[in-house]
Amino acid sequence: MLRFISLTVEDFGPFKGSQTIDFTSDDGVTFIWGNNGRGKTTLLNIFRYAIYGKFQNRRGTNVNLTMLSNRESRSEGRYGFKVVLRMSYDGEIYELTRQFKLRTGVSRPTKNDDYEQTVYLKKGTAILSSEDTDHILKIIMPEQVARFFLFDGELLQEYEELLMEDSDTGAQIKKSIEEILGVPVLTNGATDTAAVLEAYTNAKTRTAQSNKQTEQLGSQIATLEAALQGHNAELERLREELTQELGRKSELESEQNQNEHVKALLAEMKALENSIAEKKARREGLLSDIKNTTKDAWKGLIGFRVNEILSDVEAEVKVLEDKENSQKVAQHFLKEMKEAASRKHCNLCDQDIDDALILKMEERIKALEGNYGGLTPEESGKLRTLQIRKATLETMRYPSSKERLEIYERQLAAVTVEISDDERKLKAVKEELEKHGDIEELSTSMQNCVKNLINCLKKIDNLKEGERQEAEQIANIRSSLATLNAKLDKTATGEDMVRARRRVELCEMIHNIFEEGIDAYRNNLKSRVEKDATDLFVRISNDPDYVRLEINDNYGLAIYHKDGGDPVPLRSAGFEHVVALALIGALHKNAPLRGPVIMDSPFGRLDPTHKENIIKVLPSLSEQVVLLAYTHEIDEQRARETLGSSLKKEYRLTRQTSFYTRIEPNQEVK
Amino acid sequence: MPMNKIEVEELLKVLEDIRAAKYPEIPSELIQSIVLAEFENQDNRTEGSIITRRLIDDFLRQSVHEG
Repeated sequence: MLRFISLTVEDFGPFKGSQTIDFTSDDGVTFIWGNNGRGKTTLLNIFRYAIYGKFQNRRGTNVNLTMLSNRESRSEGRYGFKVVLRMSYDGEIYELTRQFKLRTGVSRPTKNDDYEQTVYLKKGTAILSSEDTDHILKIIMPEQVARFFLFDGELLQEYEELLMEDSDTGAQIKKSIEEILGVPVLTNGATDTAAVLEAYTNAKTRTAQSNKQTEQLGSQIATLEAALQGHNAELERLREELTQELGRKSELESEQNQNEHVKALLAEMKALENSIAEKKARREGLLSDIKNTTKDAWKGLIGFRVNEILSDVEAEVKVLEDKENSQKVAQHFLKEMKEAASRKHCNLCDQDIDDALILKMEERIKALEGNYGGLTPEESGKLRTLQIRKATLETMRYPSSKERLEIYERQLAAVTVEISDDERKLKAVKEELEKHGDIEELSTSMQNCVKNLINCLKKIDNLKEGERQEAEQIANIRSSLATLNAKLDKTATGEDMVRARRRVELCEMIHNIFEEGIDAYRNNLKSRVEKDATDLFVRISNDPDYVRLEINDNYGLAIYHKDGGDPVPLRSAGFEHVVALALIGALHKNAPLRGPVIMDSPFGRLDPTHKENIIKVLPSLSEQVVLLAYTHEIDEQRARETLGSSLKKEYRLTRQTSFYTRIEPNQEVK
Repeated sequence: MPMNKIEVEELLKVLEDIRAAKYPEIPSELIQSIVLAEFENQDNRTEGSIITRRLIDDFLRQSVHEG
């Protein structure tokens, strides 16, 4: 199997200077911790760059290599970058160096052409030729299967496409799965043995033609074989063209998606501009309200003092008014008593009053007249003054504007924050748009892309129909040939014909072994992948009632509940990740191609149970696992405890400056 | 390039089962050699097909003798 021994990066991305990660030669897990922006994904892509010479962003688009040299190194006059990947494979030590450097004679680059890319591979101490380098790299980790070795956790979601019929992504993943499982070894074997069979069949026909007894039959067979060859060649041509068109379709769709992305960005820019305008209008309104409220604010400020004075005045007024009122009530009562005494009859109880009681009443009236004398003239004057003052003070009781101002200010602060947020988003959207070039030109480009895609789809339909017709003709010719060959075999008795026939028979057997082997191997693999993926899935899953996975023809895996019935529908994003990881682990276990698994942030959509269970099974995914995770994506200490001796190394990507990250052995490892 | 045969063990086992059951006249070494040639030359189809042709030619020359 392939194993990475160490990786040295020099002035690459955020990694300034020369920095090395040493991996252990023992089976186990290496953690590389790093917060956002410190270069985890860049590091993953550096492995990809080392092996394939390409650097892709998250959308799978190749990145301009001139952008990748370290910014601080450039300002210090060091241009370009270098990667050295040391690895072992089949008992040999390889050292792969890939460098993006200035061309001879260039000291200060101004354009892409000022750089050149060099690559060389050392096997032991010998530097291999470029052909051998290319060959070995393709053998140890073909690009088609890179997705199973070097992957971004965010892309695991696409594995759900394997469960969908007629999905292009699903078809691509299926092709990659068959690649990693070694199916092309058999399909290539079947194709090549078929070619040998055809050659020996032609030889047999030529022998038949040279024999008088079978001359006519031989000629008929030769004619059909020539026709068959023509149809086979045409079928091959159509297939090649179809493959090219499917590739073009994929590119156009990618361009279309890019255009869709630009369209979405334009819509987002418009929406943000509208939102900012609306919020700015709201802010203006609030500022105007605040201004108006502030105008009368002084009244609110004296309100408290006015209230205090008013309260005193009201108390004094009340005392005087009470006294005045008491006198009025007493006067009325005395008047009633006097009338009753003079009439010797009480109107209230409608009874006559005797003389003795009249005397007592007159004494009482006399005494009361002294007690309820009413307000003195001074008091009356004071009451009038106080009443006027009270009325004046009441007009000055203006409500405080403090609370209203506070509300306005809170609203103003909120809308100001919203405007800032929107403006920041708008800036990011505009920067993203600028990467796509001239917006005006994009519109024409989008229209052309749609036109080309429609033409491409039509061409694919035509090619598929042509392929179908050719296959039909080939089947008919083969049937006729089988009949003629059977007749020839009965008729021909010469030694040379017997030998020629025997050679064809043996060739057929060899070809059949490969042809029959393809389906047998696929079925065998599927059952093993299904079993191993189920084992991993059950260990990772947080639902004990999900008991097995079932594989389909595309290697898609459906989840089954312990109660049986249909597969679990509408799986969550988290479970898609779990199933994808189970599939990748099972593929590694069953693939002729084995190598390290390097994954970037695979825990994003997983709950704590899933995270912990994945940590537990990491050593089962491959002999060498490198995990790139941001701090707190998982509990570091718990992960260490869970892995125990399976955790071999830890590194931390630490910020030196915004453009300089250091790769340091983690000091927290015990 | 040296090839770790263990890596294609499962693949060979499937072919061997078919060969032994249905085509015993074909030597297992021949099938193994073709598989290894195809495995090592996945990036070079021409080379793979040339080696396969040569392996079968050699086998037929030994198996079917000229009179």
